[in-house]
Amino acid sequence: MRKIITILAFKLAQYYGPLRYSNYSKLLQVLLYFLMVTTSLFTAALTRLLLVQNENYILAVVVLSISIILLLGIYLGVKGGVMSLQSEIDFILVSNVKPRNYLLADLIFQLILLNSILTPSLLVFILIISRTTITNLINTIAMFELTILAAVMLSHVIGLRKSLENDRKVNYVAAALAIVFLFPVFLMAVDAVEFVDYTPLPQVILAKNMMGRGVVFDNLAVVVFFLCLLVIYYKTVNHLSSLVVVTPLLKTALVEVGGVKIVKIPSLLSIRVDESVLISGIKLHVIRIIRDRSILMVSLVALIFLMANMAFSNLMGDSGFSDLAVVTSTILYTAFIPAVLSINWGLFERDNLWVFQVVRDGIRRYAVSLMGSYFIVALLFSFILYVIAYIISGGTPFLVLDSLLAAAIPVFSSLSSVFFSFKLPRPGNVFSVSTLLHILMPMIVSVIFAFPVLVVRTSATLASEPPIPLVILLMAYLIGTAYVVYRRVIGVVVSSV
Amino acid sequence: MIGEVLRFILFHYCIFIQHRGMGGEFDNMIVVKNMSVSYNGVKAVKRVDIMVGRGEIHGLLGLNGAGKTTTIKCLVGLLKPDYVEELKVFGINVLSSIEYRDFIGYLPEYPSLPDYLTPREFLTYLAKIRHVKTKLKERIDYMLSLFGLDEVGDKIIVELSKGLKQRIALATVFLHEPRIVILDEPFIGLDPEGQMLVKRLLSEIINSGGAALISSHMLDTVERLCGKITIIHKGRTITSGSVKELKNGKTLEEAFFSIIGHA
Ligand SMILES: Nc1ncnc2c1ncn2[C@@H]1O[C@H](COP(=O)(O)OP(=O)(O)OP(=O)(O)O)[C@@H](O)[C@H]1O
Ligand SMILES: [Mg+2]
Repeated sequence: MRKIITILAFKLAQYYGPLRYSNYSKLLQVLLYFLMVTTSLFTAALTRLLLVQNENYILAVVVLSISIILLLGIYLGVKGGVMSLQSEIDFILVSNVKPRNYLLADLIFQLILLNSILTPSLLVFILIISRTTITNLINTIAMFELTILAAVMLSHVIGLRKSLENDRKVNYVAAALAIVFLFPVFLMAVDAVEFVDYTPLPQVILAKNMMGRGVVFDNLAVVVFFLCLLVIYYKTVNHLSSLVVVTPLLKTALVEVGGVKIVKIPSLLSIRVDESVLISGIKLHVIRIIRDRSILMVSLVALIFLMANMAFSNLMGDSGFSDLAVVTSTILYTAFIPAVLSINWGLFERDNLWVFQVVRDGIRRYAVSLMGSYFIVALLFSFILYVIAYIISGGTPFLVLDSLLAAAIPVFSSLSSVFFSFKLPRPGNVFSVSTLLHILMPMIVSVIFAFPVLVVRTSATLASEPPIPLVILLMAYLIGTAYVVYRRVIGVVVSSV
Repeated sequence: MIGEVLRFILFHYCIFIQHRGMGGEFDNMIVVKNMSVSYNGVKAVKRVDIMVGRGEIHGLLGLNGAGKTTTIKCLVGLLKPDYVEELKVFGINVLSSIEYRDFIGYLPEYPSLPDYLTPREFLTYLAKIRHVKTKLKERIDYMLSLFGLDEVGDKIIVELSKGLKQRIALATVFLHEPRIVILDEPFIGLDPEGQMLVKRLLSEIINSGGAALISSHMLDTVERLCGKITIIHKGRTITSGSVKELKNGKTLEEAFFSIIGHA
């Protein structure tokens, strides 16, 4: 027991190290919690308002929240499951510590970590949306914690199985599980939300219990689910004779660089001797984005947003939330793309800045090409998503304004992502505070800068047939602001390193 | 393009004039006078002085934590000192101008490289931002083969061994034919062949009127390679001079400890 506590204390000290030494980190942590709590309060209240008491929809949304937690567990598992920092890999995993003890410490560590991220966001959201009564509060929280426990256990089992047996086979199982957990989302996307109630899946049963709607059968089912999970967990851990085989999780970035296999780069992208420095720089960043698999993560994020938007618009169907809004909100989400890219940048590339710092004008050139590459990737995805959303929702009369938005969001989000990747503390790992800020801030900033377009877009009379002077004015605004922001970001970036 | 060429010529002309006009003074390729540096309010370097003359390979010695890396970072502009009387590289004030960067090659203590590029891609891009214009492709091929990287030139860097990475970092140092090189523990991880190559390149630089500043813990290498050395102890320069003087008949190791012991 003492051993477990020692390992746990070491992990916590490592992970929360920056918080101990820097007031800036503390401030960021507080800011992040504030953002998370207010965002979830706001979203929950809004959703609740729009859903107009339909219990089926509310159940569906709670199920969705639980699915997200379980999916997170699967994702962590596929990436290795066990969270070991480099120092643990080098010194603890090779020592004679019992695998069982280490894994238990890691289990508790992950429970703490996930709680610190999910409680202020998802739990707050669930509590508001399900209008939990005081008597049911304990029940809701207990089910929430059980869900997190299930996610961590899943992550360990998948991660350990991956190092014990055939990698690919485990990946397939994980993918199948993910599909099972996403099934209710599929029901929502095809507008069959009333069937969610009848699907006997763990996440549905957990959600029912959470909302105090569970019958005896549901309680029993939760117990059985956890018993199964426990047995599998126990068997997996017992298989493990040494920790050396563990593939640690925190070492890797957002996307795993599986067996390092160099990805074929289209010859269009290979750099040439006679092209300008800027073009070469952009190409190299795009090449890196492809090779370090960030591009896969971006595609996944885009897909999830598209699905979530469609599910949401179906949910809102009765309340007058128009199909057309799907197009606009899908475009808004593309602000996430450069933000996601900047996380891998922070983990892999930030340390290389010395190369460019000692070259005259090196940092400026580097930063400009970084922005260029983010912009190109974001614009590509923004365009693809736009077309897909356009086709699905059967066309939009707001072609002009939505196209303006589809160009503006990538501009502002790539500018601000570069700004924040240089200014914020580097992401210590995928789950650190600054990682979340790296994602949130560019999103907020780009929406703020594109706000005038959004305002015009939401005004139905203006949006359907915008007068040409207004369009020109908006374009002038966007180009002017983009230029000013660009100059400012370059100035700050160059002087900050 | 023409503007750039003109500026280049003008700049070198100025350097030339400066060099002639100030005569002896510019013979000091690196000048650090009474520098102090701190991290978060804690002084790491208290009073460091270094002079590196033209045609000199200068060794920077000191125990772990003495302040060698900190000093070097200030020289290449990666850190700002709290206070310094004079900080010049190639006759140019480091704090007020960045033009000196065209003339230096720098190797950090822990060179981190872009994991997902190939050495060829990385060096090509670097050569471009370093304004290596003529025969760029040939230059890259030459550098790759010089550092024994021709076989791994098209693999991604993350796959390469520590020593190979160190060779890539060293290739970035010499890529643009710098006049002054500043190397923080360059021999770590290099095989004997690599070490010999670096020594050869260094002597080429000093033979053409350049200079080098090298921090190292390998006293025997320093003894053979460097004409002069500076020893830093607890953030202060405690001695500086030619190796012969400092040794004073003893081995460098004995001399080193007796100097540090007296400080
Ligand atoms: N980033 C930092 N933050 C705070 N203190 C630092 C930092 N880097 C170095 N120091 C401190 O500054 C002092 C000098 O460190 P420096 O790295 O210059 O030593 P060094 O002579 O290069 O040592 P070594 O031979 O171990 O490389 C040390 O006391 C060290 O603890
Ligand atoms: Mg050092």
